[in-house]
Amino acid sequence: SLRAAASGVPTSAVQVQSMAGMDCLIGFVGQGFAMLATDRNAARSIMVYSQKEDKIRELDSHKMLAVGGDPADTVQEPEYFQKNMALYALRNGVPLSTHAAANYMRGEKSYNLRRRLSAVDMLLVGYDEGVGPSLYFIDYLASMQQLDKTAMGYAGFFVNSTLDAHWKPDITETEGLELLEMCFAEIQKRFMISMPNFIIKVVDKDGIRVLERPPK
Amino acid sequence: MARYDRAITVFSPDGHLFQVEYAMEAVRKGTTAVGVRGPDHIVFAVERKSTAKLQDPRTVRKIHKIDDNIVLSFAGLTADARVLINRTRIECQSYRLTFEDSPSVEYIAEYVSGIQQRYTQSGGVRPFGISTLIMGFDTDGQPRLFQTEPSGNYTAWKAVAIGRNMKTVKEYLEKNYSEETAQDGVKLACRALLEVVEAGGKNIEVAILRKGQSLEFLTEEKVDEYINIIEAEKAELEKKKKPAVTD
Repeated sequence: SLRAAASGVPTSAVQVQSMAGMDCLIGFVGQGFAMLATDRNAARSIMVYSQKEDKIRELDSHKMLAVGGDPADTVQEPEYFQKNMALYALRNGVPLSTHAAANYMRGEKSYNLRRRLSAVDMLLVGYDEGVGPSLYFIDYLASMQQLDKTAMGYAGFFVNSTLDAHWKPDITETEGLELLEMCFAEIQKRFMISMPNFIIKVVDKDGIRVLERPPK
Repeated sequence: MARYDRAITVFSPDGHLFQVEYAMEAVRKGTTAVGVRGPDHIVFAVERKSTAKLQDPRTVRKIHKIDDNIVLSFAGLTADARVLINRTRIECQSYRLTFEDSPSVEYIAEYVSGIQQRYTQSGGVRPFGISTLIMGFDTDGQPRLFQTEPSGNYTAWKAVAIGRNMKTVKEYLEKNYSEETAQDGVKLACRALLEVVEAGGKNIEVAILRKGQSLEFLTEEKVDEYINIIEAEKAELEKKKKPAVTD
């Protein structure tokens, strides 16, 4: 694997103010699809750098990862996972299943955790032939759980209850978009940080698509 | 002479590295592989070693995808090839991770040949017994074809053959490669390979890499189609050559 190439990280105890939690990551599975939505803020302290950030990485044709937490780690960690997953696919002729990918990532995060601090939360979503859509919650402590619906970050406080109330197992894509709009409304009403933009991506048997929010 | 061919770190008095030359002999024993570079596509046509009855032919592959845009074939010791292919695949991903860009075909050819050279200058190891053909498209859209050798040498080609009977095949390519014939790389590659290999889809494996598309392996039926066209054209040519019979 590429682990040898990426080693050599200093393990100093410098405390950096962790920005983990400010990113809103929402995900759920539905009828033959899985959806991810995140806010589009890139900010530090009192400064907003951009409100067009795309926090959902496409790992391969049928997997995507919503990432939140400390800025540089949120780029380095998923990219490292993605390259190793691509290597696996080239070596073995088939890509990793979503289940295998989630476990692989969890294992790497666990390994890294015993060497340095890393504050990266992830929501992995994928579509596998024969299995269907699946959603995995992997937080910065490398806890992993397969779930039907969840939200990470401060958004979770506001949105998990909305998901509990309105999600159902056979939810359709249209209903899913409506559910997300309810979540966004809740965040924009009650969360202290202004979050004007959100990005929504869906994965189904045909791959990954970016969804437009319905006009007001 | 025998004293200078044991350890590869020893030159012979007349400047030979015998182990490297013996490695090239091993390559000459391997099944033939042909590469042809067209204007917007590149083709590999390789001699398929006859598999035993109970063997699964899917595991006897000579054309390997290294990365989305780079493909490798070889002639010589299969196990040696497997090791090099593995390392090259890692290097491609490592390059992508570092530079957020795909490596050029030359970079990969240089990388593979660099490994092969290192094994001609180390103690206790032997050279890799393979020559590789590396094809792919660079980010500028240009197709590239490279060959590496056990010595660690690498060169770019328009069309080339390695393995057994490569001389015959290369001669054919030199005579018949032109801007016109390169338009249909599959036909040219097959024609060249058919000079030394028995005709038939089960004896030849063909893969084509087209600009912007992923590697495509031709089915046995498709290969048979090409072979039939080639045989028909050959027959036509033979007919024209024969003088007309006059009473």
